Amino acid sequence: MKNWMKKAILLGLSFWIALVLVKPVGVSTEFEVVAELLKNALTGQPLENPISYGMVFVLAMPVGAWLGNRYDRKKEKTALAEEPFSRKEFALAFCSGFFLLLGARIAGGCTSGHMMSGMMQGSVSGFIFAAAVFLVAIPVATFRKK
Amino acid sequence: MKLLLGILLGVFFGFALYHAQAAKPQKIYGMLQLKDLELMKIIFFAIGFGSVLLAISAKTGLLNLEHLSVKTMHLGVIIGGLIFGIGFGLGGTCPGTCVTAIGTKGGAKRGLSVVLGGISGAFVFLCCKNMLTALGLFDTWNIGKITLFHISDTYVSLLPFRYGGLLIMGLLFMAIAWILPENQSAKERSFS
Repeated sequence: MKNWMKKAILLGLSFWIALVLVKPVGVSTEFEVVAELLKNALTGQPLENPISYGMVFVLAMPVGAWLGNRYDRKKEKTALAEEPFSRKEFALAFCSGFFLLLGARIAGGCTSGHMMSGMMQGSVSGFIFAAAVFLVAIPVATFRKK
Repeated sequence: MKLLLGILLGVFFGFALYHAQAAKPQKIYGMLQLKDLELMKIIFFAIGFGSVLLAISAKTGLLNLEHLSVKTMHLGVIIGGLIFGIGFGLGGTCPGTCVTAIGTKGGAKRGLSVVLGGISGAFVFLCCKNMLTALGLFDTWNIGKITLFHISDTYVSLLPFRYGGLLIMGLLFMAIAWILPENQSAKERSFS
């Protein structure tokens, strides 16, 4: 089997197992939970317990990546050079995150919730969201300065 | 129990995203610049495969239909999608992959920066929520939770077909993934 297909089957399985056991995968809601917590803390309102299924799901994602990454690095035995991370890059990453979550919360979901889980269920909003995202992202990525 | 499931499923999802190389901005830029479509192949195939599994498991009764969750279609989906596209094209990452990147060597700082920006974006959204609602962003073109196929009685469907339709859509997605051109710079993969 081709390499890309193995990766795709793994990813598809992760969508489906989450759906069968609990609910479709989704990430951006948890950003709003954190922002809500922050807002309440700033305005002195009572804080709600943010720990939920969705929150631990998102917090566990880097652990999965770390496991895969560690295995790969052991196998290849090549030390990855630490990428330099300048202030400019920080600004770019921060802005990108800002637009991503502002947009995702207005739309009611992100790549995982709308695009992957949504389209998998044949949801109309998932298809429309994906079309809107690529309509802008393709020219932005193409004309973005390297 | 549910929290434990959340941890296990989150680890699995992060692991799968990592292996799809979705946490690498270079791969997303490559996809958006239409130069390296491997990630697009993976995503199309994964969604299609998920649909096929969903259709089969729903038909056989393995899937509890209450687990399905379809999002509402309204003007905000389009406006939000367009704004999301700016961030997607600019940073080559998305809310899920930036969180995933935190677990990788060389991607952690960038991932964390995107997460910080994301929390700020969600914060601004919360502050503007009432205004956006007043503008009618969530009521305009609100056609409810609509699906292409009749997957459950909870949702209205555009087409009269049931799981067979979803199965065919899934197979179509997998076929599109198959047809999309293979990564031309396959040699770079071992390097990256």
